[in-house]
Order: sequence, then structure tokens, then C-alpha cells
Amino acid sequence: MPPTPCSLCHTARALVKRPKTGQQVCKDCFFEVFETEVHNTIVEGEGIFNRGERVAIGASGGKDSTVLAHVLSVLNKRYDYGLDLYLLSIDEGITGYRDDSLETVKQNQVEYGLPLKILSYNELYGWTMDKIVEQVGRRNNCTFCGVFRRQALDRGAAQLGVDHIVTGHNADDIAETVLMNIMRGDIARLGRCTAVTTQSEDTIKRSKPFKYAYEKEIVMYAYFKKLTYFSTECIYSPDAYRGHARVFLKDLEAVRPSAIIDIIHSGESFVLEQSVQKGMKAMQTCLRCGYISSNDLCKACALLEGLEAGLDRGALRQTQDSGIAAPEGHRTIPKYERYGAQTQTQVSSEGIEKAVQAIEIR
Amino acid sequence: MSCGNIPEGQGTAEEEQVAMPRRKQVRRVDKNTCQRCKISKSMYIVRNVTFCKPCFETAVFGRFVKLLHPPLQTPQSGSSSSRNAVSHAIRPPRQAGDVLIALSSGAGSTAMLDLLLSRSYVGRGDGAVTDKTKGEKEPIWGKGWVVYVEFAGVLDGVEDRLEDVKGWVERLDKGLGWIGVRAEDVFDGELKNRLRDIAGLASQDSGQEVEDTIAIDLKDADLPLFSTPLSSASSTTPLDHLRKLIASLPPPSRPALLSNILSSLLTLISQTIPNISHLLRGETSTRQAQRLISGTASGRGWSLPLELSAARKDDDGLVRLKPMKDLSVKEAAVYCNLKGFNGFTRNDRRWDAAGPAGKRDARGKGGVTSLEMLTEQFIAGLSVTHPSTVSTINRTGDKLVFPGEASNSPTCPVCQLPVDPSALEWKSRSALTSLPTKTNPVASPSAGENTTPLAPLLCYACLTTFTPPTVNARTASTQNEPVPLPLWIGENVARQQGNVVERATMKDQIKDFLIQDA
Amino acid sequence: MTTVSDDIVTSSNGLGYTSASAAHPESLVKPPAAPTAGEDTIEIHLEFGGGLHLLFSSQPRHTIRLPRFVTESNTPQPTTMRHLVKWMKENLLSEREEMFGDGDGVRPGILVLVNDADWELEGELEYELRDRDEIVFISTLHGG
Repeated sequence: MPPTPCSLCHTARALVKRPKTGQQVCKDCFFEVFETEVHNTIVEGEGIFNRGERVAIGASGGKDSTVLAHVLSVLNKRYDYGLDLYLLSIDEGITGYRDDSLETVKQNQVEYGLPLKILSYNELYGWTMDKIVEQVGRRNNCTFCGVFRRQALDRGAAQLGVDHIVTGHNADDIAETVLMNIMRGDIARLGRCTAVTTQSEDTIKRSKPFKYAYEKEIVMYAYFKKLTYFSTECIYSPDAYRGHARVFLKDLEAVRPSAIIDIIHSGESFVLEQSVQKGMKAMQTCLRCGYISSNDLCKACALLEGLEAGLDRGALRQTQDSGIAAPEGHRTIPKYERYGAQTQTQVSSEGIEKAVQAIEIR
Repeated sequence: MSCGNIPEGQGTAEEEQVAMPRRKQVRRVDKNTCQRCKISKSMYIVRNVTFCKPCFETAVFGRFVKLLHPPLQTPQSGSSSSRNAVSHAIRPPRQAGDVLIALSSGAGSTAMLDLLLSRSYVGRGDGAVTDKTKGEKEPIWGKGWVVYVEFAGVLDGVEDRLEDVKGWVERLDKGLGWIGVRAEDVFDGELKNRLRDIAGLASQDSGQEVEDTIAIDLKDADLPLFSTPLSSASSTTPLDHLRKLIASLPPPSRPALLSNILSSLLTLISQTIPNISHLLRGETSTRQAQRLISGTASGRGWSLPLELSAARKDDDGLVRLKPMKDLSVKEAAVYCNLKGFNGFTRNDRRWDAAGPAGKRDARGKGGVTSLEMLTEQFIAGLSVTHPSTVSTINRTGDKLVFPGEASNSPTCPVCQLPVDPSALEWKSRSALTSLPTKTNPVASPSAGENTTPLAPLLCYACLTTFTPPTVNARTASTQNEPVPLPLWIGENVARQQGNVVERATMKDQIKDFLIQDA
Repeated sequence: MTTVSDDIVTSSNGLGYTSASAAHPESLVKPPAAPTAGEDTIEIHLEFGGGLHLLFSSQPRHTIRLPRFVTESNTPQPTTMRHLVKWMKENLLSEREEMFGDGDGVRPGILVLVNDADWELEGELEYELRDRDEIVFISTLHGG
């Protein structure tokens, strides 16, 4: 049996069967088609980047962000986006997981020549995930981690002075989120989870250039490009319900590989009732730390107050309405300053010193 | 991402919904007693509420009419605010037309038919005068037709129940008209005349118009169409055509085709039988939830709100109703058991078993080869630990609104629902199948001048259905024997092309009056 | 058939569908052996609806006899739904088992009625069978 020719160039030998299209393609064409699709995602419509933008790549050391850092560096040169790229890592403080994966990020920093900033939960919140899990157990720890990471990324970005964070969320992640939001009736999130860029007032723009990139193709890309990444799952068990959705999605993909992108297409088509859109809560800033919030206290401050008081997540609801001042003796989050923001707010000294220390790059 | 908690959306922190409510702890109520009447022994438990038999039946009817009645009320009765509140409690007025009831013999449609008949919603079609002094109720529809579509011809090991179902409906003795058709009738040019014959109308044109149909080259991503005489091989039956088409499609696409066949037959019948004003389908909430998820997974997001709606009016005035949409399949099955229909109902239509098994079918979970079946199993399994799964999914579905204009927008020739804009363009951007710098446009060997591609006319989901999962360069040529398509698709394509020509002609006629090229 | 049970198990948790049960790991659940002459037995009427009969020799109704007690850990225990389901899988099921069973219980999507009442009200797998009980299994899975 002669070798199968590539479906794209018809000359070289096909090495890869693309899960997304079913085509059998050669290595070079795979690289080109993968990168071109990411480029198409980036330039679609008005495009997600502006020339001269300072962009932080949320880098975890995992496959998605490692490949993203590589592809964005390549595309930035090839298509002359004119971007200043940075790597931004969050150290959640998970021994045996994040400390190892951060080594990978440091390696990427050298390979791509991108400046790296690492911001840790410990310096920002005074808690590591290890300590949080010790207190709240494994059941709800992902809630803490999710809330803390979101805010840490924004704060790290503010410290780097960037306008835009890109993350390695891939097509599988987004399809899974669409399914999750349907299944748990989260209408508000369903309406926006497929957007390539999200930005609300006063937060840093976030984009997902891998929105249409299959997880499998990201792995194949890393494999053929010989990119190193850290591949251990987080040691604190992931949300069980999300687990169901992930397994289901993989089953769908096995039956029809295009299902993942088909789900995203459906998600993009969904339009929600007007009343749902209006029902969304107005945004304000957290009275304690200045971060964007729909309540007087942002979720991170509320969670932190609970942690400091020795409570678990169940106490969140009450604490989110509590006063501006943190209870005596509690650690607090430094005041949040958006990059380029005009107003300089007087803040307590300890927090800002920590933040200033953290700005140091490398 | 390996992390289990993906921060989604943009920090607009609404209430934290970590997970769906899990199965609740058993509440401190007496589960031995019906929670409705508080007297009788409870027999059924539905979403944590216990019912005795009579209370269950009342509750089922209540939720049935809650969806059935409002679209049947006269628009001008009462103010809009108060009307919504009470419109389901009042028996609607007599409708102008007759009703077409789709019966699959599944629990949902069987229960629906019984609910309609036992409460005198459907007249015998004899124009009998209602004697209200004797407690007779005026029927909502003067006459009812029952339509059953048999798929046994294309499903291995599924019994042919056309005669069974017909006998069962006749024994009901309610004066219902009977229309029994088969899936393969979508290839039968005589179907319309058979239907006209059933309705007592004269035949038309002896089927001349449908001597030709179109065939499709499923191996070519453009899906080129060819005109082909259906009668060329007189020995080829409609069933042979349908089997061939099913075999040409990848297994996961087959249930979608069968679903489209069912819809197209129901539409054709409602248009051919005179005076049909309403089409009723017995889809349960469980089925709706499956449709929402599997439809999403098939890329059908655009038209899903129309597909899921409890009441929808076609351009030609036909009203499609799904009055069982708020009842679960469990409730429908319990109802059928209560009414003694166990020997009749069949819930296993097994559409995922259509056609020959492909070579690599074992890839799916436990040999499951369709998104529909996977979804069904997923929802059933999840409902064990999360009993509100189905209702939560449907609550999501109810909030979706159709993003386009429902009337007068172009429809997909296959599913006959509005087409989402630029399906092909979207696909070509996010899933490239050619590289402009490298890929030579391969002249399709079969692409003559008279071929029209089907792909640009299709909605995203039907495009997915007809696109083979593997576009293999090696098999792209030579043995492309076009497969005939069902007649309704050919008719729709012809109609759309007719429109195009018409517009061009029109423009040509008025070109002298146009100031600039618009 | 109105055998009213006085000792209804009210702590139904719906898990009759699933396999996990610490008290009854599947390997320990033995299907009752065929009754021998003179043994204390009960008569059970089975009915299959919704197309499920196709898995049971295409017969919608079956009448079977089971011993009234099953010996587990050397003590006789009343025969339960758990034993019946196991017995059916080994003795009655003529087609693919995965279409009916799931672990110890039945597959999600199969409705079970015990003397016309939802088995969720009767304790599901823990329900203790009585003579002349009528058990109905209805599939609500349509397959496409």
C-alpha cells in the first residue's frame, strides 16, 4: 500500500489525521493549517488585537499555554501584529504540581525570549492552595482557586502594564462550557461563553485565540514541534459535575469528531431572551480592594474573609454583604489598580509594597 | 486546560452556581400518601412529589392543557395580561380546521392521543351536533387524523407495526382518519396521490412531475447534484433508494436523516390532506432536553428555538403544537401503563440502528454510533443523581430565542427550517480543508456544467450531516456514483433555484429603470 | 393485584439504578437457585413494556417462581428486587444485557413498577418480594 498523500498539498506523505476535518495531512501542512486557523480566529471581524498592544499570555506550563506562546510568537512575526508579548504565570502554591509546571514556563521564557512575571496566591492573598485545601477540604477548593486565579491574572496584568490577556482555552474547553451552561441553566454565561474576546467595563480584555483549536491538535502540534510542557493534572480533584460533561463531550467527539466545533457553532448562534440580558447585575467595585464586583465585596475578598475567619465556602453568601473594613487582624488583598487608571487611591502600605515587589520582572 | 475550574465569561460575578442541585435528601413528608389529596396511597413519584392514581391523571391532564390551550384561544378574548393567566384553564373554542396527530406508538404520542380522545377534543368528522344537556363536550377539532410513519424497512430487527397500529387506532372507534406511511415513501412519486385518495380527492397529474429526482455525490464536499430519472431502473424500489442513501451516510448522520424524513412526511401530509389546521406531536420534556443537547452537538443552534417551541405557525398557516413538552417520558410511560397500553406502546424506535454498521463503528461508547443515543443515555444517567436535569435543560431551552426572521427567510432544503447565515464560510474559516498556497483545486471529475452544488443551500447542521467525516484524497475520484435524494429535497432545491432565476429575470426586465446597479 | 405493603421503605435514594452498594457488592449477590420440589417458593408475574420484551424472548409476560428466602452469609434473607434483577439477567434475558442491566440494578431510563406503584416508593432494589407480586419493566429509551 503506497503512503497516503497529504490532502492539502497532494505531494508529501500524510502523517496526521486531523480530528477536526478528518483530512489526512502532512506535517508541514498541519502546522500551516493549524496556525492559519488561529490567525483566522485572531483577525476575524475587527480582530482581537490592536497594533502596539501589550499582551500577556496566561502561562501555566501546560500544553495549551505553551503552544499558545509559541504560536503567538510565530504569528506576531509572520503577520506583523505589532504586539508586545509577555508571559504571566500564577503560582497557586500547589506543591508537586505548580512548582514543577512553573519550571516549564521559565524554560519557555528563554526559548521565546518573552518576559515572564509570576504572581503567587501567597503574596497576593497570604494563602497558598495547599493551605486552603488544608482548611476547606477538597470538595470546594476549585471555587477558591477559580476566583483567586481570575483576580490574580488581572492584577498581574495590571502590574505588567498590559492591555490584554490571552488564555489557552481551547475548543474542547469552550464546547464543554457550552454544554455545562445548558445543563445547569446558566443562561447569562451561555450567552457569552463562546465569545472570542470578553471585556466588561473596567476589566482587562481577555481573549481565547485557541477557541477553534482542538485539544488533540494542540497536543499533536506540541509533539511535532517538540515543545516541552508539563502534563500533570492538578492534584486537587476537579469538579465532578464538569467531569461528567467532559466525558460526554469525549464520547460525542468519538462518534463525530466535528461535534466539538459544531457545539461552538451552536453556542455562537444562541440568542437569549431580552429579559435575561437585562436581568444581569450592574457592576461596581469592591469596597475593600477595588476589584470589579457585583456586590459590595468581591468574591475574592469574601472568600478570603471566610478563610481568615476559619469558615469554609458555605459562609460565602453571608460574608459577601459585610462591611468595608476587614475584621481586625485579617489579611486583606492589596488595592486593585487598573493599568493606566488616572486616580491614585491611598492604600495601606503593606499590600502595595508586596505588589511593587511583585512587579519586578524575572 | 487541565484545571477543573475554568473561569468563564468576564468576571460579571452572578450568583455562584457551582453545580446543579443534586438529588435532594428525602423530605420529611409521608411518602406513603399522595401529596395532592393527602388521602390515598401514593403510587407514583415524580420529581419528589407523590401521587395516587386519580391525582396523577389529573395532574397530567393539567399540564397537558397548560401547553395545548393557549395557542388555541381566540386572540381577542380578554386583555393580554389576564388572558395569559387563565387561557389554559378555559376550554378553547372550536377550531376552524382539523387536527393531524402524529402517533409513533411511543409513550408520549400514545398518551397524547388518549388525552385528546378521552376528553372529547377530537370530533368524529361527522358534523354531529353536541348535546350539551347530556354533558357532551363540543370537540375542539371537527375531525382528527392519525399519522403513523413506519421505519422498519431500514431498521434491522425492528418489527413492522403498520397494521398493528392501524388496528389499534381503528379499535378505538373514535372516527379518526388513518394515514399509515413508510419512511421509504419519501422516494415514492405516487405518495401525494395516495394521500389524496385517502382524503377522497381526485389524483393529480398521475405523478408526471416527479419522474425525475436529484442525486448527490456524497464524496465531494461541495455535494454536487445531478438530475436523475427515478424510473431508470424500474426494479429499484423506493426502499432500495432509501437504504442506499442511508448506507452512504456515516452512521452518526443517519438518525438526523430519519428525523428529517419524519418531519418532511408530516409536513407533506398536513399540506395534502385538506383542512388541516394543527399538527400535534407528542414529544415529552425528556425528548426535548435530548433534542436541545444533541441538536447543539450537531450544530443546530440557530434553528433550535423553532424546533423546540411548544407552538409554532408555519408560513402557510399550519400550527405545530407539542402539548406533551412539559411532561417527562416517565410520566407518559406511567400514564400509558395506567391506561393499559403497555402491550401497545414501543419506546424503542432505534434510529441509531439504521443501515449497515460501518467498519469502525466500535469507536463510540459501547458501540453507540449516534449523538442522539449518546445524549439520551447521558441524560438518563445524569437524571439518577440529578433529578432536575431534564427540567433545567429545558429551562435553558425556553430562554433561547430564534435569532433570525422566522418567516420569509430562506429555508434549508433538507430540514426545511431557516438557514443560518454563511454556514459554509464559517466552516471554511474555522476548519480549513484547503490551503490557498498549496492546495490545487482538483477539478471534480463528475462536475459537469449542469451540476449544482447542494452545500451552499444547506443549514450548518444538515451540511454536517451530509459531509463525510473523512475527506480522503485517495477516494476523491472515480467511483462516485451519485445517490438519489428523497423527493422533498429535490423539490425544495428546484423551488429555490426557481427563485434565483426569477429574480434575475425580474432584474433584467426592469434594468432600464434602475438608476444604479443595486 | 393489590398487595399493599405495610413496611414501605421510605428512604429511597433512587440508587437502584446504580451499581455501587457497600452492603451488596455485586459479587456477593447470588441469584436464587432454581427452586427444588417442596421448597418454599413465591410466584412472580413479570411484564415488559415499551419494547423491552424484545430482550426477553419477545414475550411481554412471564410468570416465574423464586424461593421465598435466599441464603446470604448463612442466614436466610427474604428475596428482594436485587435478587430478581440478577436472576432475570442470568435466566430470562435473551438479548444484550447492557440494554437492561447496569451494575446491580437496571439501566437508567427503565421504569419499574411494583404492583402498579413506582418502585422508587417501594425501596427499589431492597424491596422484598411477596407471592404473586406483579413487576412491570418499561423502557423509556427510544434510541434516536
